[in-house]
Amino acid sequence: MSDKEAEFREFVGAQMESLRGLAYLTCGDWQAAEDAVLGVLARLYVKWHRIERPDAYARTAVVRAAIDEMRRPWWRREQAHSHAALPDPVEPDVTGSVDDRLRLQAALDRLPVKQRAVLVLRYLEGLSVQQTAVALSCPEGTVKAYTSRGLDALRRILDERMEGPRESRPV
Amino acid sequence: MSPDLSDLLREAKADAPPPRYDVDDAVAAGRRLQRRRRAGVAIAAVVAVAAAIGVPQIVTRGDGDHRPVPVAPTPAPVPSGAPYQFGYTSRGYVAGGFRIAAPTTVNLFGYLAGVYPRNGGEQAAGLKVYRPGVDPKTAFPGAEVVATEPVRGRPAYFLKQTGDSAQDILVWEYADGARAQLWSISPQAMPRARMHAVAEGFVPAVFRSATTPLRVSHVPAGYRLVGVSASPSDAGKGQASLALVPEKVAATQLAQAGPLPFPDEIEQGRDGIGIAVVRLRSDDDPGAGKVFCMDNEPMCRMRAPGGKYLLRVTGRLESTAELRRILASVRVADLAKPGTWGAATGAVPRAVQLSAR
Repeated sequence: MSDKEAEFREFVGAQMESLRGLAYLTCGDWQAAEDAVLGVLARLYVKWHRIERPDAYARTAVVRAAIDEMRRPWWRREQAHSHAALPDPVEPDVTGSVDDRLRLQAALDRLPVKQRAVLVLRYLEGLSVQQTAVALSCPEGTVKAYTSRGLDALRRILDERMEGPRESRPV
Repeated sequence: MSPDLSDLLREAKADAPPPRYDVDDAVAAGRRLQRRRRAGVAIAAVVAVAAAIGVPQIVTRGDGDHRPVPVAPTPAPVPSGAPYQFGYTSRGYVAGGFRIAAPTTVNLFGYLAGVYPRNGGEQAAGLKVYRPGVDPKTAFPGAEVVATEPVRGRPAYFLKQTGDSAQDILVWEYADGARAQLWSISPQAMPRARMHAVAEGFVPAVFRSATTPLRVSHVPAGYRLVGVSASPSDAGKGQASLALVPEKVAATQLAQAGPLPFPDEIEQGRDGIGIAVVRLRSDDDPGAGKVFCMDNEPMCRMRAPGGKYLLRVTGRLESTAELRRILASVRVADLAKPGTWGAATGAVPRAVQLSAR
């Protein structure tokens, strides 16, 4: 085994699980997330010694790939694994034992994918506004706006789910 | 909320199913990608002796049976050295309870059409029509070939993949040495018997040129047009794109016997230049009259005239300024009026058009 491959294996072993989670939170589908991560790692393997910060490269590329998974045209599905729909919205828990995790997943699912990506990069990965803008290839103002809108939307959705729909409308 | 959001996000991914891939899979995927890229370079070296491109021609029997009969492919209907013609040799049709849309995407391997339930609903399958000599099997290494009943009297088989990705893929010969492929989004979307019915309904037609609303007058030297995709505006969903790659890569693709990247793959900027007009999304809007580029990203974008669409140019070029020059030279016809579009071949300057061999 070459040094290159040994280093790559070590990197993948240490990072694969967190990259998988990052992709999942961005696209909301475990299978699509894993496909996105595998594609990024394959590209990273090819250019392993040309990348200065493989962790930063992989993180950015995985989020973009996960966004692409959500936007990709239908013909891309040809060789893909079955892309199950996003999980059904979670019903309000009438027993009172509300599951934060499921509620947040359902709330994230309702955000536009790029808004979701901004929140994930900023609050899960701890990236600054500037780093997030670079990662998503958008202006810093957009990142700030998405952060604000995303947090507002999450708060609204989570409050609504905690309290139940305020009016009769499809969720 | 934000102070707790980090914890909540960590919690939200805590119920991960067992992973489908491990370190070995990542290494294997990397090796496969590396091999494919190296193979591309090797093929370029022998492109000079590559086989001629053919387009299936149709003849009609003289005994009263007017069913079209595909015969052996003949050389492309353009003289050597003339611009390569992008186009289609079939039209939309209805068969087996499905509507096969008119094809809208073409590159050097062939073209692509969507398949929908006849009475409406989500897309159920896809149809690829390969140019003669292209073998779909090369795109599915390891897939098992399972022979099935002939289609219109010609050989057909299913490609059976392993694992979770198993999808029904029907391949049949529609002319001598020319194959088409139908794949179902899921077994429920189009059962195998229906796939046969849809394949039986496929009839090659007279070649017609692909058209596009895009025109670009500035392209860096050494690039060639290799792919065109254009869908008329339908409830605001129209889109169009052009894919260009370095001349050597284009020659490789022309000689290649396997499926090639679709325009949107190239449009992502990894292998060439992509020029696209897509529906304007609020999260991609650069603002009225503004060109938005990132220094570290191979993309520039701006609103198209009218404000409903976004023009986008991608490509790893020498400078962002070059991307800006290309973007400034793009003209877009009305996506809602395909009758005003021009032939795809003429969408780029003559020097950028690929020559037929």
